[in-house]
Amino acid sequence: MKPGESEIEAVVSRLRELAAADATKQAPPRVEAGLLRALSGRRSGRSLRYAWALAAAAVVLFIVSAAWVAQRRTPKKEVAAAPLVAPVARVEPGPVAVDPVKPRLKQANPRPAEEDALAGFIALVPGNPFGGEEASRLVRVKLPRSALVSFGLPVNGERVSERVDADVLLGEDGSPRAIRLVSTASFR
Amino acid sequence: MQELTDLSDGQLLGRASAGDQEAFTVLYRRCQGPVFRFALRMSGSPALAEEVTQEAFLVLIRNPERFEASRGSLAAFLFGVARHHVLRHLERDRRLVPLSEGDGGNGHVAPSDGDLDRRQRVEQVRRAVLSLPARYREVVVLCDLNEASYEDAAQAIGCGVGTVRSRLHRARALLAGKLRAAPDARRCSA
Repeated sequence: MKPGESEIEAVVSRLRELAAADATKQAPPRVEAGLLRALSGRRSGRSLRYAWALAAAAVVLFIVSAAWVAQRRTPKKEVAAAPLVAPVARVEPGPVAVDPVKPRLKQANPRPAEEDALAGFIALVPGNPFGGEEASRLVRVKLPRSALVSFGLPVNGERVSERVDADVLLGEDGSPRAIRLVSTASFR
Repeated sequence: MQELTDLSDGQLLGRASAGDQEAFTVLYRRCQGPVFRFALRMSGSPALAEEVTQEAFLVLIRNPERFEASRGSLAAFLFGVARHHVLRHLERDRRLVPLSEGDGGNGHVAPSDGDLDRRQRVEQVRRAVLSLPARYREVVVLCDLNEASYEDAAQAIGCGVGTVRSRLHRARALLAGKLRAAPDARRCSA
């Protein structure tokens, strides 16, 4: 049977009676206490996450800075490997042409400071490897220790398979003119 | 604390999200009653209502960005969260204990005949509401018992205002039939 308007109004009235009877009912105080604990825990947890993120950012910044500084200090490797002992090229005496872009060593009549820079080089070609008009390039390569024998250097037999760093002075044609071991201790 | 009570729900939530416990307390005390009563009237279980109230406010603590002021009031948002949890619990556990005479009451005194009669009538309506299908029960609880606006009810339920109106009309008719069929409280107490 479909209820009439008056019956619906009576229902609404009784619902209001129920609402009034329940009006004072609330969640017990322990709910509020638990929520405040959760809020406090979330805040401290968030602070801890911020601290971790900050520490991680600091570590990354340190690593990037260290890598950048190391890169600036290390001479640029222009070739991965050069011929260990290149065919001997004849060096014509005369002034050296200087390329302003690439690192160069002036060959003719080196001044005292340049002599320091050239100290320790072993000539691989007859005559003066630093002389001549042609441009020269200095590159750093890794050499097997066994290759040191060809330069007349002593090699520890137990470490013959290891590699050492060496600066190689290249002529314009790319052939090596002189070689210098970066660390003299490295071949002992 | 005094000046916090003047702030809107959204402002209080913003402060609470930043860790302001006093702001959260003001917000909680402002909204917890309707949320608790909604869950209680929907489920008939004070324990479940307590749990649902806690879960609804935990959402505000953990994911305050879920509340968008542009989409409706905070009360409607909380009703929506509470409704979701109530329905989930009701689906999971259908063996809820009906609300007893003492549930939620404080400081019992021996009722007079008039009080007893009124309380029996109230319980009769409560049982009738609890026996409604959930889709009708929720509109009665929201609109008639919690006095939520049709817009807030629609937002909480996730339907249109027209749907709320039609469901409410149908729910009241169902209630009228149930109360008509139920024994009169006056005759029972007599």
